[in-house]
Amino acid sequence: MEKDFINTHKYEGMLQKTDNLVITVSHLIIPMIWEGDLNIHSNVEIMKNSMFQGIILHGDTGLSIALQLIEQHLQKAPSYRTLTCKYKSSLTLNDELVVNYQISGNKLSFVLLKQQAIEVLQGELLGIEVGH
Amino acid sequence: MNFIIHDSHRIARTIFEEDCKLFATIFRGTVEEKKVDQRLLIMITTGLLNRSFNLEDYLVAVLGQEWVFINPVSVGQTLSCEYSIKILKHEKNIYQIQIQLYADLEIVANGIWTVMLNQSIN
Repeated sequence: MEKDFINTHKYEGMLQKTDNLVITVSHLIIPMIWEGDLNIHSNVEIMKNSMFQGIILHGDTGLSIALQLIEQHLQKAPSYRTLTCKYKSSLTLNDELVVNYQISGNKLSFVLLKQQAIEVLQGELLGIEVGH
Repeated sequence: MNFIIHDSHRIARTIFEEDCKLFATIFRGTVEEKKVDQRLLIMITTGLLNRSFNLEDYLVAVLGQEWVFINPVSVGQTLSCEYSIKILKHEKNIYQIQIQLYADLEIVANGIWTVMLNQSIN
C-alpha cells in the first residue's frame, strides 16, 4: 500500500513536545490481560510498604503511552523496524506524562517524563517511516 | 524455588481481533483497530515470559528491552517464544533474556529483555 508521507523536514532535528496524559486505572488493569499480573501491579496492601510506596504499572504500558503521544502529535503512526527502551523510573496512577522527541533521518529518539521533570524511560525507534 | 516455570514454546497465546480493538481503545492514537500493533506484540510477549518465569519471587526491575521486528503478525496467529538467559552483571544479578518470537511457526521478532533479579538463578 502506498504511504502518505508527512514532511519529515518539518520535524528534522527539532525537539518536539507532545500533549500531556494522566495515568488512569484503565492504563493499569487493561494491559494485565496481555502482560499478566504480579503483586507490584495490583496488590495495594503489599505495595504500600514497598520501596515504590504503591502499585506500579507495567513498563511496557509507559512505552506504549509514549508512542501513543508521539503518534497523536505527528497525527500519523510511525512504522519502525527496531525499538530500544531503557527504564529509569516507575509509573503509578495519576502520574502526568509528556514526551520529548526528536527525528533525525530514520531515527526517532524520545524521553517519557512524569510530572514534567522525572525521566520514566528513554527510547529509540530505527528505520522509521511516518505514514498512515 | 526455580526461576524457570515453563520451557520455551510451552506457553502460547492466540491473538484475537478483540485484543486489537481493546488495545486501540486504551492506547488511542492512530492505531488501526484490526492491525496487530508492535506494542501489543511486546505486551503479549511479556505475558508469555510472565507465565514462563517466576517473576513474582525473583524480579526486582525490568531495566530495558530491544526489539527487531521481522514480519507482521495477523489476528488469529498464535504467539510463542524461544528464550535463552545469560548473565550480564554477576554482582547485581542482571540478566539478559534473549527472545525469538514466533507467530505459528514463523519468526516475527527478536528481542532482548534486560532484568534485575533479587538472587542468582545459576
